[in-house]
Amino acid sequence: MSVGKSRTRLWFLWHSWLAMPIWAFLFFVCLTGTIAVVSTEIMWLVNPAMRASGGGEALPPSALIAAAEAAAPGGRVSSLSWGGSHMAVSARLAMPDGTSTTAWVNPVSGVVQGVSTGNSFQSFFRALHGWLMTFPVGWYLVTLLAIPLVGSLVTGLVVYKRFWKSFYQPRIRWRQAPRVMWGDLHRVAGTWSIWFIAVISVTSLWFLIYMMLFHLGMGLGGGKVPVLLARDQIPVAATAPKPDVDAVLASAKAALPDMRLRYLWLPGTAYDPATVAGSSGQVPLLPDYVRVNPFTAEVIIIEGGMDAASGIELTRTIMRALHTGDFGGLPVKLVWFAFGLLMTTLVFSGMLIWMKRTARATVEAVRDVRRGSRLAEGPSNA
Amino acid sequence: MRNDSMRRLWQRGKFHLSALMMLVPLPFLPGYFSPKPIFVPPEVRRDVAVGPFSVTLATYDEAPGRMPTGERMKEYRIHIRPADIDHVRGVFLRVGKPRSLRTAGALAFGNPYEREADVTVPDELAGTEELWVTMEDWSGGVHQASLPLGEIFGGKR
Repeated sequence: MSVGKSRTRLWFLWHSWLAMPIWAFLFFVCLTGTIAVVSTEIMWLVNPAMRASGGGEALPPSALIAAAEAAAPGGRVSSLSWGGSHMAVSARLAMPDGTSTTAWVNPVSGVVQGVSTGNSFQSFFRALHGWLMTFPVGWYLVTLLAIPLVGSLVTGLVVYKRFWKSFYQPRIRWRQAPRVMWGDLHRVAGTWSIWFIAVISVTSLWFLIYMMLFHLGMGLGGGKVPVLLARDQIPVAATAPKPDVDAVLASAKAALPDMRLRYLWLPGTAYDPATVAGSSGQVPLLPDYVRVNPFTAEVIIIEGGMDAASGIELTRTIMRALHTGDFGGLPVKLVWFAFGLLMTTLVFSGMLIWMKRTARATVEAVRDVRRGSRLAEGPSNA
Repeated sequence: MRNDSMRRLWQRGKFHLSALMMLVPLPFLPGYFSPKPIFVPPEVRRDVAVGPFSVTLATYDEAPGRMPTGERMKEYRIHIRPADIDHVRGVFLRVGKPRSLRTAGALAFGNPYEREADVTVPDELAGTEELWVTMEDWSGGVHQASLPLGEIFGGKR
């Protein structure tokens, strides 16, 4: 056997073995990640309280806050989140017993359509996919999968000569034996997902490195010094003055006229500004944060976007957006969902092919390599 | 014979063992969806009168954690009576008496009924330290109280 051929075969063995011992775990992570991409949309289908369609004049945030607080006695709204044209506004409330609650408020009628306590389905799937709900051990277990993922991509490209043919001549022999069919599917799906696997593995590696540096005490920093109000800027009153959220939102909108509104955070303490977040459209991956004095409704600073962000912050935001596909609305999410399914299929088909073929091939190759190395190095290897 | 089939089962099954990773999140499932944690670590609680306000300090009965920056941090929760939440402008916690309002310590944030504060704890404790609570009301009044840190520290020292 020629050296080149046996080298290809070694690459091939690497490709076959990289993910096999952990295939079920990788499969689980791929599948939960795929579901996590569209978890909001799934809940939108399941929970009628989250839906709000039809036109009309949107209510000011003060009316939404009043409605939410009336529906959850004792609750204090800490944030409002606008999901999109067909979504109810979600109001997050701090409750007297220390828990938090979400109220779904119709943005036009102001009707509270539902109240849900505890963690959401979305954060559940994120925790399940991202850290197996065991932080930080699970975070490392999951992000370490980036290494076999990169390995599988690289070795796959080396092994599958002329892979680009799958772009213009995809061939899946559906009627052949299952082994042939799964093999074809694995090659075609793999070729079409090259970009996606690259994106997912690079962003996962980033999550791994980021957490490692953090735990080694070498946090990347880049976080800004929080904006706080000075004590003399805070009014003196008998009881806490209610921030004029409508004026806050109006000044934020005046500062960024083409902003698509996403969040309004009320001050977390008396010294915090109110924050309005949205995407201004020019840089779709990077949201803008407008910090507003809650008492005077003056804009203090606009953070985010291209100009204000440090390199690390920029990387963090972009990596997260690329990993989750949450940067261009539903169309992008659906692309990420489809390729997530494809990647999950790749793991599964790889396992099937392995079970049907690679075990035997490995025994042969190991035998050949041993024999070959003995022939090549034998005499000099004294 | 039986040994043989066991071995075959192992040969076929060993590569699916990573499926066991799916068991890892299972113990956390019930707690995740309940609004209050099910397995609450034991708490240390103390009632403190700070001027006109009576608050309850609470912390887990655990030693302080170490931040990546090397600091020792202890998390405290400050329960405020519902009738008071609109009168309290700020709650600050500090180990040792603050020299002025500017150095009052960690500002408590979050849920107005149950604010939380991350307090820096010195590496070496003599045992005589005090935890100082500084509360500001909206009319500008400042109220202070202290209690021995040992009473509300938790964990083994």
